[in-house]
Amino acid sequence: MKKALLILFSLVLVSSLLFAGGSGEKATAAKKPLIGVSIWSSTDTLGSQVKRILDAAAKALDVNVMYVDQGHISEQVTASAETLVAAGVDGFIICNSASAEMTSVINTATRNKVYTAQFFRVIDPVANPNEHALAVASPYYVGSVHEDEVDNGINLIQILTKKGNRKIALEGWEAGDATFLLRWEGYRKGIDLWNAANPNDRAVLLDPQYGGTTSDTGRATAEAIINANPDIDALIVAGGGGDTLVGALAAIESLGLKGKIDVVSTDFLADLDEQLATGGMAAESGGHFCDPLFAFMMVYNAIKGNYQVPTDGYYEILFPYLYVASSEDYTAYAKYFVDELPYNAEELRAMGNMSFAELNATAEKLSIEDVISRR
Amino acid sequence: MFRLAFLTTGKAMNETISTFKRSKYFGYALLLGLALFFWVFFKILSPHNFGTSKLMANYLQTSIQYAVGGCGFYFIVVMGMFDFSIGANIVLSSLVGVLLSRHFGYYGLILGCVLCGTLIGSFNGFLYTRLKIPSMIVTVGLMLVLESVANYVVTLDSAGFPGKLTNANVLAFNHAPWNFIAAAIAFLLMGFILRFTKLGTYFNAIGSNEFVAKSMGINVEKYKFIGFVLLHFFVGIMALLTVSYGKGMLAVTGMGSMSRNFKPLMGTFFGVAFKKYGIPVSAIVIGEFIITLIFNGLVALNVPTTINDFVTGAVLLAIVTLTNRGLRGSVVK
Repeated sequence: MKKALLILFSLVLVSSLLFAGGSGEKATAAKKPLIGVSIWSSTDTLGSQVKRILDAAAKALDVNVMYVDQGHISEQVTASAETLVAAGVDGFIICNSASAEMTSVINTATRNKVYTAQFFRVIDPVANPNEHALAVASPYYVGSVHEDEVDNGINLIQILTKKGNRKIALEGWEAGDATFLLRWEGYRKGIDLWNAANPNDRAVLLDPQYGGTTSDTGRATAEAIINANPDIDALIVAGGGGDTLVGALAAIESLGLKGKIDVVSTDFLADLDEQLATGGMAAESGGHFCDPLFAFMMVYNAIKGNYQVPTDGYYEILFPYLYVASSEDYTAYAKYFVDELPYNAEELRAMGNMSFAELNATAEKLSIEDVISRR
Repeated sequence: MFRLAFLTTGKAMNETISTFKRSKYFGYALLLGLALFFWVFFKILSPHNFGTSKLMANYLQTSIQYAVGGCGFYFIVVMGMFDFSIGANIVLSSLVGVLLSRHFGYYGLILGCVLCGTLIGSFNGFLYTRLKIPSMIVTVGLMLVLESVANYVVTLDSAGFPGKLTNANVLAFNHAPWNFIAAAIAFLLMGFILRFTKLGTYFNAIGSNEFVAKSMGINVEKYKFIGFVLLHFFVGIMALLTVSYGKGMLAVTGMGSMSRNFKPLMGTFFGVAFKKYGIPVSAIVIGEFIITLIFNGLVALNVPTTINDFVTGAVLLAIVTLTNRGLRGSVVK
């Protein structure tokens, strides 16, 4: 029996080698660049949107792309860089969890002469001076594309306080996540700004509870938060890829509080239209699934030799958030960002030949109006 | 004379107490006492936002899915085996259920989850019994395989919201009464198997001493295989409850499903600890409820989740240690 199973496993391994050989043959015929993507998940709500736009870009630029899901677990984040390098990528983009991981990631890239760029993330020079210095000096760290998360946090609090919410609960996804910490800072600043302007009508933000990145843990945590604080009038689901929010909305619905608790978040859901119309969601910031596209373009241009990577700095793009607070807002968003992609193949090819200044300007002006003007 | 009567009465009373201490009533009293202790503890500290009857129903609703998985886990844990592929099975079975629900509604969801779970159990059991490799090693390998398959399955879901139960017509198990009914059926089935079939006895015999069980004529390999099938049948039901509870499932890779193994396992620890009282099913259900109670109590006190995990783990260890102390000089495997 063991022999039969060993033969079976051997056949599986040999067939996988044959398949690998097949694709390798194609690759060597006309050596396409191979760009890796180290992402928390390529299948969750936000991750699948990211994959969609990156696949479109890879197709338009005739580039091979390889994904590694690392679940935002530190050791897996650093291992993902090594995995991609071992697979022979020419460059890779990465969404790390904590900035400390970037020491290993940048060293891996530099040692193997492979370009890398961060998406959804930037290294804070004050909080992480060593990692920042390493990134600045590396000839293979191309740069980062990120959002102003603090500003995003302030904006969401402003939306909630203007709607009359005064006791706001917070559900994060993982303690210590770099993006969550920045958003949390923004929420606190938003509360401070409101309280300074309205000393007699103060708002309060509860300490965060963490609901992981799956919908069932998201729901259990949201239920626990609401049960423990029945007088909250708003809940911020800080992020986590979208599944945490799906669970939190299920919790609110099951407790019969849909429309009574205003929910805001930073991950666009596929059924956001319905959620906004039925009171499930109060507002969302998002649309940032195009952020990795620009990191991808930066690495692509570095591989092609179009961008000289400096050793006294790096390229940085501040990507804008879109804010959706009504069903009408979402209809326009859905038409140009969900039903079709905001960039067509021709525009994606053009991006591959842009200078950094042009690429930066393209990213900064991305909005629903921008897409309409190009159609 | 009087002294003799006193001693006889005392001895009889000691025997009665000793018998009571070994009875299922003592086990129930201990479990309910623990639940009551934690309820009172958190109720005193947080009187307004903890432990009302409505909230208790919510806590129970959260805990039953893990209790169902814990029941399944019991079958192999009592035989001294372990399975790391539970989480991956939950993910894969859920995604298969969601995919089939798009075409066949409830039939697709229920059969997709339960049948897929059971088939995976058969596969696990087959590999374990044929390869004769420790269950931990086999199931770690299978976890990676199942995670990869789950990632493939999610790509087959062409709905705009892959892996998510967006159709309100298949959400009955998302809330009471159907989630409770499904869980109750699973608990009754578990109780029936342990009490009214020879499986429970054989599983315990294999767990106590495999060689003795073999020499008694028990087909150890066959019952280990059945143990895996039963485990994953219950995991299939857990997948149905979990995917309905969260209205979706996230496909993960790189052992990301590992954390899903441990919440059901906590309930199983209670089941194993209270096995001596003959109430493993009740212990698993009440044990999972106690764990949920502690989690919600700590959230009510605004304790950060990280400390919450620490407290839950420490309490679990304390309870299992106190209820399942081995005899002096006994060897703990």
